[in-house]
Amino acid sequence: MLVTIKLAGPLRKLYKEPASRKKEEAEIPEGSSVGDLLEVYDVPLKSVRLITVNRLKANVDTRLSTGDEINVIPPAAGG
Amino acid sequence: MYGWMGTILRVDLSSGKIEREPLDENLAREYVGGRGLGMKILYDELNPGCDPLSPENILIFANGPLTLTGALSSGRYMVITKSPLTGTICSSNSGGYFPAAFKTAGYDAIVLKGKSEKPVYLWIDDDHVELRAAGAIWGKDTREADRAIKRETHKDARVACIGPAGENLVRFAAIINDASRAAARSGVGAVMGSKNLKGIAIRGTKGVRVHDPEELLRATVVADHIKKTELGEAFGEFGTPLFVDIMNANNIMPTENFREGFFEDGDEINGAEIIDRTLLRAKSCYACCINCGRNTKIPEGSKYSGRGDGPEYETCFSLGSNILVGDLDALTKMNYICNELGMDTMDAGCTVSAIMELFEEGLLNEEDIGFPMKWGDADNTIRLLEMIGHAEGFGKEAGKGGYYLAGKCGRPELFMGSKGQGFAGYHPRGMIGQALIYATSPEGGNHTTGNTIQPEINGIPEPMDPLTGKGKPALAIMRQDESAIVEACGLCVFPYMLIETGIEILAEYYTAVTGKYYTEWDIRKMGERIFNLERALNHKIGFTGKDDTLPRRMTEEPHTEGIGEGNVVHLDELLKEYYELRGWTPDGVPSEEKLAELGIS
Repeated sequence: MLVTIKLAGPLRKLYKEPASRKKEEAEIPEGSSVGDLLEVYDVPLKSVRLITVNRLKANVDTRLSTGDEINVIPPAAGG
Repeated sequence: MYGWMGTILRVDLSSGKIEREPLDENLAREYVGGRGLGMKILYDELNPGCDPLSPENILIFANGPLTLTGALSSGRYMVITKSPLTGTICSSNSGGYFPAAFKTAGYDAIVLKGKSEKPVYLWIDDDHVELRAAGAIWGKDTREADRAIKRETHKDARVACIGPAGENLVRFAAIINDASRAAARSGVGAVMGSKNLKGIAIRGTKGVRVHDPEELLRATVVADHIKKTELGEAFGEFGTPLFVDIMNANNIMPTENFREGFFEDGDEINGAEIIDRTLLRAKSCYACCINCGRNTKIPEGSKYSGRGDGPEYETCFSLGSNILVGDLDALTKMNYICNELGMDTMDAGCTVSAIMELFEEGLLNEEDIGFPMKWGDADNTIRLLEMIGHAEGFGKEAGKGGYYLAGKCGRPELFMGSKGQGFAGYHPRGMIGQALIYATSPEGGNHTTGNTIQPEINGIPEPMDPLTGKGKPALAIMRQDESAIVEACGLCVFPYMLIETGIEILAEYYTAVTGKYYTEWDIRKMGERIFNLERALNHKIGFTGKDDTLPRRMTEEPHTEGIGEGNVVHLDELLKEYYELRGWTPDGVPSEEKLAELGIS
């Protein structure tokens, strides 16, 4: 199934296509979760503060459906 | 004294008299410097009932004991006065390199009183201080004025000045230093204009004495650590506009005059878009490793043109999402105009968004303004900003601020701010701790007298649900007091309020610089003293808890969709607990007992 992933800020270097700047479409197996998708993109979980699916809060266990938009947000600070 | 320069410069603009006064050591120990020291001078010397734009008002520039010491991000100064925008006290802070010159010239504060008969600027070359005629410079924008003053003084001088907006007493006029950094908020530039003071140019060649330089070398280690955190990496690369992604995803990026918290075109005005389209280089203030500043150029071929600094996140919200402008070039142009005319982009934006809603409601029309002001109309916004700065036509009315204008149209609740100052870019309905800070801030709706991003958005040190009021009064108090001490020390809030150990590090610096042992508790107590002093001075002016309000949109109109759907701010409950925890009276005034406990008299 096809979903859209948005990797904010410093995470954008993880896009598969170098030309992707704001988002990218990803083909993943039916029944995949957010965690599966993040694995495909090698997103380190410590660099993630918020995940939304279709603008609602989600987590790594959230199941995805065709056409979903997944937004991955890093922390605004650290320490 | 270590850390402080030991001298306050006093300038009477009416008589031209210039005096040096030794800094009272006890005063410095209790109120530190910057925002604290400036506020104490104001508390002792201001006629609380004075018109902020009259000669009676006092304008204070102050740096802090940690400014220029080598402490991380220590290139800040503050401007303290009675605000013509809100009628409250205010402290507006800025970075760049002017603060370093200010301190190395040998002064902790400059206290300006009265009003010059003719336009002047103040030239400080270490111990040499003089007022010079500014007739030929009056009317110039901030970049031209910066250059002209340097030509007349010294190539190494650092300049803080006003543009046409300050001269025209625009209530949200800024003081611009180093041609692009702004002590932006509360109309401090209008106070400077009311005194016929075009600028202050400073060249400093002195050093700052610190008690334990070796201990301060740890700054390098801490800086290295911070650079490797998400804060250092992400802000250095994307600047504060990284917040566009974060606040939009959290549904708290104010949109369409705070009707909602999500802007569909957020990707067009975020940090990544700036890197890809307009960024020339990242810029830092003095002694900072973060480099969050953006030096930019609007690309060739755009219908807009120009080169300068910005935008910061707050401008991405105020002149972007909140007025539905998703065009980075247009937004950047608006930022340049505000910098050059010397205006706060945040209150300019909150005024424009109120005008757009008033226009939509039919309470303002084309005849009033001279042209339509519809949502997303970047070109007419640019036109209006220029009219405001130059006090032309409707711009003269708009320059009195959005709260004034909305009130004049019979709908003051359509101005999104508190005490007449526009909110920052964190939607109160989706960030309840921040909502409480906006309501109780002595200066009105701003984020520099406290912000709750760290616990409410980042979950550090412990996650707090941003949508509920649980624990928020205590949180607001802690963050407000932290902000007060950071700004009193002459530091930037970023590293000290956005990393978990910020205040602990500050206490170590303070001890190393001053030679007196300060714990984190001592540091927080000094912040509490300063914050209470501000509220006490506001009370002398006439402000009480009845002024701790939010617009109806925050308390009665819920978020309609997304994260936080249905949420509003239950302000009354929050305030009750907040006042109790503060040790104030039920009507929001610092009690006699609290003031005595803090040694405020």
